[in-house]
This record gives sequence, structure tokens and C-alpha cells, in this order.
Amino acid sequence: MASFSVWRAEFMMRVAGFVSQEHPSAVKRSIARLLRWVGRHRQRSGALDFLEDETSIDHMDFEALDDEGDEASQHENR
Amino acid sequence: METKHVLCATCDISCQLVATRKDGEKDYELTGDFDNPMAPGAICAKGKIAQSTFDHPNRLLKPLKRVGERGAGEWEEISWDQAMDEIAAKLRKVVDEHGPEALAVTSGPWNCSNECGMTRRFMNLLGTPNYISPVALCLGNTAAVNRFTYGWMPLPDFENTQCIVVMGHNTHTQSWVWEYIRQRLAEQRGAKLIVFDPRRSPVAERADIHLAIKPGTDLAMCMGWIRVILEEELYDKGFVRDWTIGIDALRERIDQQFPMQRVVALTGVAESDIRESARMYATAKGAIIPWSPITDQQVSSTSAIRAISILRSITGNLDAPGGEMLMGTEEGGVMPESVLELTELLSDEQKRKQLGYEKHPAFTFKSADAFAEHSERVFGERYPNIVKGTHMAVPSPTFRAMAYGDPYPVKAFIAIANNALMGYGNQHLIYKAMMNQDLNVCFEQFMTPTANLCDYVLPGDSWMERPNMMDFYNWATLTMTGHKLYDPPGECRNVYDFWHDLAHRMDLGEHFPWRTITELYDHRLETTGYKFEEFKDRYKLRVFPNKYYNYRETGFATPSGKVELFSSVLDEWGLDPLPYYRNLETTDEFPLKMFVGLREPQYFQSAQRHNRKLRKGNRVPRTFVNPADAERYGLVDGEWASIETVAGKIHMKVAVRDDLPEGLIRVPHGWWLPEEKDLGAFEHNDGIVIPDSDEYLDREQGIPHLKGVPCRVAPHVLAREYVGMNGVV
Repeated sequence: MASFSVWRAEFMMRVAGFVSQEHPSAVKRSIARLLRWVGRHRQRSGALDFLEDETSIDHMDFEALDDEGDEASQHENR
Repeated sequence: METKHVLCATCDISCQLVATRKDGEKDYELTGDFDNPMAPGAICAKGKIAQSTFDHPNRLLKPLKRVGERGAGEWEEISWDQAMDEIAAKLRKVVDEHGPEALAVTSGPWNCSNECGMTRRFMNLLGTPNYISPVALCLGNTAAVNRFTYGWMPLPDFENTQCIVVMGHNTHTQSWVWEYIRQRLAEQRGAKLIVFDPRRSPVAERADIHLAIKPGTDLAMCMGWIRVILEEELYDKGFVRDWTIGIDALRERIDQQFPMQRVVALTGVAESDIRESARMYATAKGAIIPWSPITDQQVSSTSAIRAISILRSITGNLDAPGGEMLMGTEEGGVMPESVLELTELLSDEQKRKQLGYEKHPAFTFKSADAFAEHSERVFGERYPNIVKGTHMAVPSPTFRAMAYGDPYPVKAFIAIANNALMGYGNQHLIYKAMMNQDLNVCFEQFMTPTANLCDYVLPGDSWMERPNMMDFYNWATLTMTGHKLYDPPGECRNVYDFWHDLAHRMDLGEHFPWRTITELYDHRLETTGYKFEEFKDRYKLRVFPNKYYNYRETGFATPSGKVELFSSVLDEWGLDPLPYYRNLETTDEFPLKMFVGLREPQYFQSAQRHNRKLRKGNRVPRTFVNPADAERYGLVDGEWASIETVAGKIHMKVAVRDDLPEGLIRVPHGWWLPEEKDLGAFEHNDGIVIPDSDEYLDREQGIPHLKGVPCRVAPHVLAREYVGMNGVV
């Protein structure tokens, strides 16, 4: 079991290295494109929604200030 | 449509971005790279609108020479040649009078991400060991301290982990995004999340277990976990038996100094929660404790980082899938910056002069030399400079030498892309230090408070204006590249040009033969068979295949070749070889504690406050205060308050927030006001209230305590009017 997890982790890192390249070989380029498509498809099924959905106090707190607009800001520091 | 990949250097993370521009348009649209296999889509607001930050009326475009009193803000524009001639002449005079160690250099390595080791190369050739950097308080010191236990700084294997322990580190969509994405994806795959944080942070609210520890007690909690893991035999017995030394001494330390009742009392966390969380961490099939700035910035920093290292080790997570990868650098790959630095040319005599070398040796040359042969044996690098933090001078002794000539005079100071006045503890000392120099030089993009105290200010390029190649700070087998999008404005130049031109004027030109940064990249790529232009087109990100459990063939890069739970190096130096507890406590005079941190979405450290688009959402520095404390001390939400420690007083607006526990207030880092004539440099910055006398410093590293400084707060009436947003364009 341990050796399988090692094999899988090392294999996935090789895949990461493979898809991060622009290969000279047309065949490899196609495979890399396919793997990138798989990766993007996986992410677009909602896995990355957290990038758009930031509702924590550490963000909302600042956005409230931003909404005050430029006019309010002229007196902000007075 | 024009599309290029580019490497953002707005912060230390270096997100890979995609820049697109339609034909005929001036501005690029920047987006995250969803093809990136590790952190798809990583970008923050600062990165998205970076062009408006750099293409700004405040941008420095020509070399400036001071003509008035230092700090008065009176300048004349001069040519690069005149500036470099005069700087070289003055530096030569300082070196002739006081020796090469009289030059100190501070560098913010992320801001000029293609420094390529040239700063240290120049310094080593000249003969000065006095390089300082804010990484002394953030990641660099962690890298150095990790070496005491197993010889390298591990990279967390988020992609395969089943448990993540976050120590107060708030990654989110606007800060440390690269790590945030990896963490959130791991959580979605089912990884458990344990959070240490006095505050009810957004990360804590997502956690399976939130340990709301008292400030500065991370070490105590780690020792509590070690206690549980040893008592309940949850450790990796084979690994501990075969690959560690010092388990008996560790048991003794735990028994004598960390009985469970004491851990409970120190941390304020119930025993049941301590035990449950320790079990969750220890029994996960692959668990990580990613780096946290929290443990970098405490009087117990060295002990806390050591305790974390011990936890990683005894649970069998070192170099294991889903654990902590000890990657080294790519064999036969891009030449590491550490090789370019030529550290071996600096004599032992000069290394020993490094400020802080004897008193606080943890990340100085004293430490680097203790690990040199072991590092060479395991990783093939004698002086790896992991995160540029493994052989630095210590900031506080360096500024003391600059201010008072003790133990010897430091009379020339060069700040490379680093707002040093705002970047370390005890700002009063830094001011005094800079005012006592014969030569202050700044390589910068904007007129910062630090630049304003300089004699020469040289305009630097931005990451959008230079080709880029980064070897992941000498930390892991990853290399990233980026295109130059357009030419630097005015006379802005690359940092390599600065060192090249200075070296050629100081009779060191033969060691800087590359005419441009691209030629230097070509040199670094010689072993790969690529030229930079080809390499950049081939690799946005080069991931060198990693193997796990490398230590089974090489051993660890420590004197014993094993994981040193009991550090033989610390022991030899007469320092405590095992983690021990220290903290600062409140007094009647200073009844609250303040922590510096909680990075703001709009800014990285002391930068970006000149950009109206960002500043609109965050106009003034704000302290966060619990409602009960606000009532107790008469503070009103939205009004000003003063915050005072033994070191000084600053003022900020109050934001009353119940995510903070009673007794603890938050102070943001690095606030100044670019629109004000005096730059607002001496009223708001956290460095003013951070003491750096011995009792406030970590003993082994000499770095200051930022996580729980005793303080007091009071309502404050402003004695001046500010220009405010009217002056921010």
C-alpha cells in the first residue's frame, strides 16, 4: 500500500512536469493538451469556486470601505 | 491577440499569470493560469491591476541624488553613470577606512525576483558578510532552523496529504494564493484541517479542530502534542529507531517541562482537544504542517520551529507522500543562486565578523558552516541559501553597529528593493542607523521612507518589465519563467545592472561578465543545453521529478546523518539542544497584548499604498479590538486610538471585531502614507512599537517578538490633518 502511494505521488509529479512543458513533438503536445483539458475540466466543475466566493470578515470588512466611494474618501482621514 | 506567461513578483509567492493584450491595446489583462498543475488560477487583486501600480505618477524614473539634509526630500536628477561613479567612490572610501564589513546590504528578494545571487556575490567578493533581509523574520529563519533537525527546509506535499495543520497562517484569495489554492483543493479531497489560532479566523471556521491557543504558545501546544504522541505510542517506531537521535532526551524534556497540566495552563486549551488533535495529526496517512510566519516571529521561535520539525519527524512524515518533501535542488538543472553567490570565497575571518554571529547564530554563517559538509554530502550544495535565509547577519545587531559603531563601524548601507525603515523591529534604531551612515543607497520603484533617507535613489524595473527565471528560492526542484511584457519606463533598470556596474567600478568586473540579465540566465542554463529564450518558451514551470524517502540512500544533512531530535549543533554552541518555553506576559502598565499581522488584501508588506484603486478599500491603518476591550478602554469603532509599548507609540483607527479574543489586539504591518509630505513614516508603522532589547528577542536567532507584545491602548485625538485620499492618484 505504501509503495503504491509513493508510486502514485511520483507519477503525478511527472504528469505535472509533463503538462507544464511546450513539447517539440506534436504527439506529446497533443497528450499534454489533453491532460491540461482534463485538469481544467476537473477544476471547472466547481472545485475552484472558492476563488470567487470570499465572504470572510477579513475581506468583507475592507469591501465595505471601498463602497463608500471617492467623495466619502475625501473626508475619510479628517 | 497577444498571450504571454509572466511571473508575478508582487509578493513572495510568485504566481504564474497569463498576460493577454488585443492588437493595438496598451494594457495587458492579467489572469491566473488555470493550466498550472499545482495552483490553477492563482492571482490576487494586486497582481490583476499591477500595471496600474507600476505605471503610476509616483514611479521613480531617473536616478536621484540628495541635495538637502538627509530626509528632507530634496533631490536632483543625475545620470546613472554619475550616480554609479559617486557611489563607487564613496563605497571605496568606506571600505578603505573601515574594512569591507563596514558595508551592510538589505534586500527584499521577492521584489527583485531575478537577483540571481548577485547581491551576495558582490558582497562575498568585496569581503562583507553583513547581508540582512526581512526573510530573517519570515520563512528564511524557518529554513535555517529546520536544518538543525534534518538539514533542509521541507516543502509540504499538499497534493497527497490527508491532514493539514495551520498555525495561525491566513491564506486566502488575496494573500499567499498559491498556497491557499493547494490547501483548499486538499481539503476538498478530504484532508482534515487543524488550526492553531487565538483568533476565530476564516481558516479556523473551516477547521475540523480549532485550537484557540493563547498568543505565543504555539511551542507549548506542539510539546503537548509530542507528549500525547509519545505517551500513546502514535509515533513511527521504525523511523524513530533507525533514523533519529535523542528520543530519550526528548522524553525527559517532555516529562520535566511539559506535563499536560502545564500545557493546558499555558495554551488555554482543554486536554481533550489537545489529545484529539494530536491523534488526528499523528494517525493521518500523510500529514503536513506548512510553514507559518507566526512561529517565525516569537521569542520562542527557534523552539517552536524545532518542535514542529520534531513532530514531522517522529510521525514518519519526512519525505513521505502527503508529508514534507526534502527536495533539494535539481541535479544538472538550472544553476542554483547559491552557486552564483561564491560564498566559499568569503574568508573564515570575515564570516566570523558577521553581526550576530556569536550571540544569535541560528541563521548566520556560524550555522551555515556547521552544516556545510553535510549539505554537500546529501544535496550537493555546500552553502545552500534556502529562501535566501540560511547565512544572514542578524538585523538588530547590524542596525546597532550602524548606529553606534559597536562592535565595529558599519558606514555604508545599500537597500535593494527593501523598505528597511519599515521592515524590521525598533524603527527608532533603524532611523538612527541610517542617519549615521557615510553612504545610503536605495534601489527602488518609489520614494519610500527608506529611500527618503538615502543619498542616492536608483530607479528599478518591475516584474512586468523584465524577463524572469526563478529557482524557487533554492528550496525545491521547481523552476519558473516569465516573459518581459514591455520595456521599463524612463531610466529604470534591472537589479543586475546595478551590481554589474558597481562591480566594474570596484575592480570586480571580471566576476560579472554577463552584459545583461538574459546573458546571466543563459549562463545559469548551460548544463541544461538551453538558452534562456528557448527555455522560457519550453517551460513555464519546470517540475523536476521528485523521489520520496531520499534519506534512505543519503542519510540526513546533519552531523549524525540522522534526524536530530536533540540538536548536536545547538548543544555544541552551548545553547539548549531541545525546545523550551518562553513568552512575554502582560503587566499592570501594559495589560493587553498586540500581534502584528493579518495581511490585508490590498497590500503586500509596506507596498501599494500609492495605488488609488487599492487604497480605496483600505485607507488608513486599523487596529482590531474585541468589543469588551473597546468598552473597557473607551475606544469607539471608526475613531483613532493610540497603541503603546515599551518601545514607542503609534496610532490607528479602531475596528471593533468579535473575531479577536479579549485581551488581544491586532496591528497591521508596514503602514506609511505616500501622499503626505513626511510620508507618514513615524506615526503608524508597527516597527515603532516592536522592541528589540534582549528580553524581546528569540535567543538563538535574535529576531523580535511580534505575536503578543504587552501594550496599552487609549483613545487618541489627531494632532494633524492628513491629505488623505485627495493625494492618492
